[in-house]
Amino acid sequence: MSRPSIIDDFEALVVAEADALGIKLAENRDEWRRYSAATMRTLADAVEEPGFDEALRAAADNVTLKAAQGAVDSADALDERLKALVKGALGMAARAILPR
Amino acid sequence: MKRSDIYAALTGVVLGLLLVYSGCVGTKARENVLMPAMSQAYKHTIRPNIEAAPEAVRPSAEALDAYGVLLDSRNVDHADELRRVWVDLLLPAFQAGVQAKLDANKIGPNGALIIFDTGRQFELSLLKLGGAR
Repeated sequence: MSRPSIIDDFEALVVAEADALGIKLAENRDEWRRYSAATMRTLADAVEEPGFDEALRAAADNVTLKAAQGAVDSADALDERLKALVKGALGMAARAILPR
Repeated sequence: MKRSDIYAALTGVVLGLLLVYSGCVGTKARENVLMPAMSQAYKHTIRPNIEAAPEAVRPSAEALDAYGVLLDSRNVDHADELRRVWVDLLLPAFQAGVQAKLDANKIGPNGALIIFDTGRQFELSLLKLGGAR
């Protein structure tokens, strides 16, 4: 299997898995991109080894897990922003309502 | 009722809903994105390598089925149990299984690195499932 073909296969696997899970890869962080590139390099070194298909499958799982972890981080950050927003609004409302 | 009272009441309702909603996004991401990703990794990579472990450390098929059911439940309440079973039972078997395949030349050293990393990413996901940031 040639190197470009591996990359195509790998990307297709990752995109398919991410799509199935509703993960928007474009929104994920640089950390995910770095991890994906490092995994792909190791995968390219594994081409001539036995069990390459298994390594390819595992690599796609790894990158998908990393993307899912990033999605959780983004969701937690959104939760924090919402909490801060509500706290601020409640504080303003309390100041407006309560007698001085 | 004055118009300002109605606005105040509506604002209160919206803030209340936001307060309820905040905290849900993270839980939903864990249940609808992270757990399905973990379930896929378990089926594709984790379980087959556990099943390749020597019999002495290999968990029963029933235990492996039960773990898959917990992952498929998409319920973060199972986070502690999933982590406990992983650390006590599955991780040692997974590592032994990958090593056994490597020793038998069924996978190569770079492939083994990638598969070992699946275990690491799975463990990181378990930590995140339990709320680690």
